Amino acid sequence: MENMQLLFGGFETVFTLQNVSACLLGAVLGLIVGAMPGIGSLAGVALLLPLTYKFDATTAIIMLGSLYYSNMYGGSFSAILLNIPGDSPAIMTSLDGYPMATTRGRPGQALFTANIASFTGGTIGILILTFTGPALADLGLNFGPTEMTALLLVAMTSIGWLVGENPTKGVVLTLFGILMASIGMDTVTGSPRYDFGILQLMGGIPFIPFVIGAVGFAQVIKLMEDRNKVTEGAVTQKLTIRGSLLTRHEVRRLLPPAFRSGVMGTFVGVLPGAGATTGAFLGYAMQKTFKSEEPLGTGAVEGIAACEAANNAAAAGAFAPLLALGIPGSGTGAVLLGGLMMWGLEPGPMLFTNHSDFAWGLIASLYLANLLTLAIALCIIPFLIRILSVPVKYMIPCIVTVCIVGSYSTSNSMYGVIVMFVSGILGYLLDKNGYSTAPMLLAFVLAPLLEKNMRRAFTTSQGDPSVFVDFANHPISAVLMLIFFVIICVPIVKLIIRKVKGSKNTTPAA
Amino acid sequence: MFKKITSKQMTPICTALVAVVFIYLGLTKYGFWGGVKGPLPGFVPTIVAVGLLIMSVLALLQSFKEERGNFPALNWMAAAGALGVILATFVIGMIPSIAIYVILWLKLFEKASWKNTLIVWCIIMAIVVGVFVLWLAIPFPNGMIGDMIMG
Repeated sequence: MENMQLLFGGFETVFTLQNVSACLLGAVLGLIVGAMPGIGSLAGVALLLPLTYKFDATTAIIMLGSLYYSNMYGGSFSAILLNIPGDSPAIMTSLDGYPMATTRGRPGQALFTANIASFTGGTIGILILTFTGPALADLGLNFGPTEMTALLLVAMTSIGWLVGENPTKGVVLTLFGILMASIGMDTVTGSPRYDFGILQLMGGIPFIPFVIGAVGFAQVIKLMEDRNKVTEGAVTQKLTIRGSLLTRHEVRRLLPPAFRSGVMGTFVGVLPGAGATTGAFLGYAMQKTFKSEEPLGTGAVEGIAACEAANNAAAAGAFAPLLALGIPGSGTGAVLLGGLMMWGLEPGPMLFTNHSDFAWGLIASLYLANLLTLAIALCIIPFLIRILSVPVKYMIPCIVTVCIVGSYSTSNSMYGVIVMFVSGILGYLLDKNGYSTAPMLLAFVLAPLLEKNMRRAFTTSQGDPSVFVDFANHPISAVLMLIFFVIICVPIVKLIIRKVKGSKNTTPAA
Repeated sequence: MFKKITSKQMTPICTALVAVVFIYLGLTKYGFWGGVKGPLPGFVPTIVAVGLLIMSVLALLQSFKEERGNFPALNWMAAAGALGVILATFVIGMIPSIAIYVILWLKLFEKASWKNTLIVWCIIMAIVVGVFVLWLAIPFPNGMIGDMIMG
């Protein structure tokens, strides 16, 4: 009941002209960027981050939250109409969305199904967040430096393990990200370190230009390959809102999978590293175990509803560890966390106590963003074909320009632009070699928190590392460290097993 | 073995070198452990760098089974364009550099029609001037020439 009162307080914070406008702007931009194939939510949020500079912290985060949230809706548009997922969580949507739009000739209904399912899943996710967020924060209050260190290690390595093709590469970039973050001032003593005699490096690597480069600029370099690609089999028929409405029977088919996937997706979103993509995959897999009126993969309403509800619920669920523990569940979450820190707010257990207005304002804004995004997503159905048909070759100079002016505006110096350029090249090279940059960004954001807690833990234990695995005094830390070692050791053990198997196969039989 | 070295091997080799530099500086320059003081500024980076070194060696061993990466020369044109804007900014300022870049890119590189070039140009300049200059009031650099004109 107390949560509901605080939530109403949050709504009071949100319902100002400025905050509602920011939420609306975030929803529109998020939908457009999310719908553009090849940009994705991470690059979208990174590129639009500088726009929030004009606002105060609460308004800025409301806009970012709405942006992130509406991106999830937008990703399904190109998946349904072009068979090109706008983002990885929308991959599963294309399995039924595209056949429904083309083979069955009902693109409007496919979009409507995706939007209603996204709204349902998102609402379930936010409702669960309303009650679990503060409870998680209460749990977090019991965390000392030892527990926080162990939790951060698990969060950082698990995303490296779950994202990308190779867990070893994920861990390499996680550790690399921590080292990049250690350039500049020492978090405890304030003395300069690893600046290599370069004056600008004394202030560290600025986060936003680094993210814009590693994600946005790297993406534009990659897009060059596909800039003249013609999408075959894209939907070309004229869409209207009235012609897209679902029948009552279809709504009845849509709701049960949306509810199931909404609940499941929220809990997937809470797990570090799992995120919306895993949520969508699991939502679809779960639907396979239930009865669908039409077979999945042939344009079934149930298939679209299951994955869309799950990915939106996961996006909402990811806010619980982000706000309550300061642990983002994904690369996009890391950018949001970076945004929060930019305005001097430190997410974590104390956020709900010290900045209660802000935390509840953000949660309330998600309800508003969900509603606004649904309304806009339904209204833009007639214009979607035109939005999605913008050739990539015209988007390239637009994105390059936004990368340059965006990174300049956040640092007010050419140093920011140079950081963006270098990290863009780095991000492109890493991506081409199979290294996902998301773990690096997550580690970059969390590294100062990790260092502060790790040093405190070692100071109190007088340098004794066994404090982290002390079951008697620090059971939470011990369990988390066990998980951490499993995550670290699995790739090593796998490699050894593969080597042993390989040598057995090559040894001739005696 | 060295014949086999491709970009797939270069990444873990580079991260291993970064790790070695961080370990060396952490231990020799910034300090690891300070008796009563406890952990020093080099403490966490050194531990992390040791981990990075081990994982880089592991990634290097795994990389020999991977296929060579593909880096089309065309992709670098986007980077070359951005580099051109950065360099031109020091001379003529950021806004004129972007304005020229967009026209040159679309007309010369993409061979777009004047109509499409001008539409895209207007949209980009509206974003840059409308959002960043007028709304966010960002003082973009004028470059050497701009500074001379403005005195």
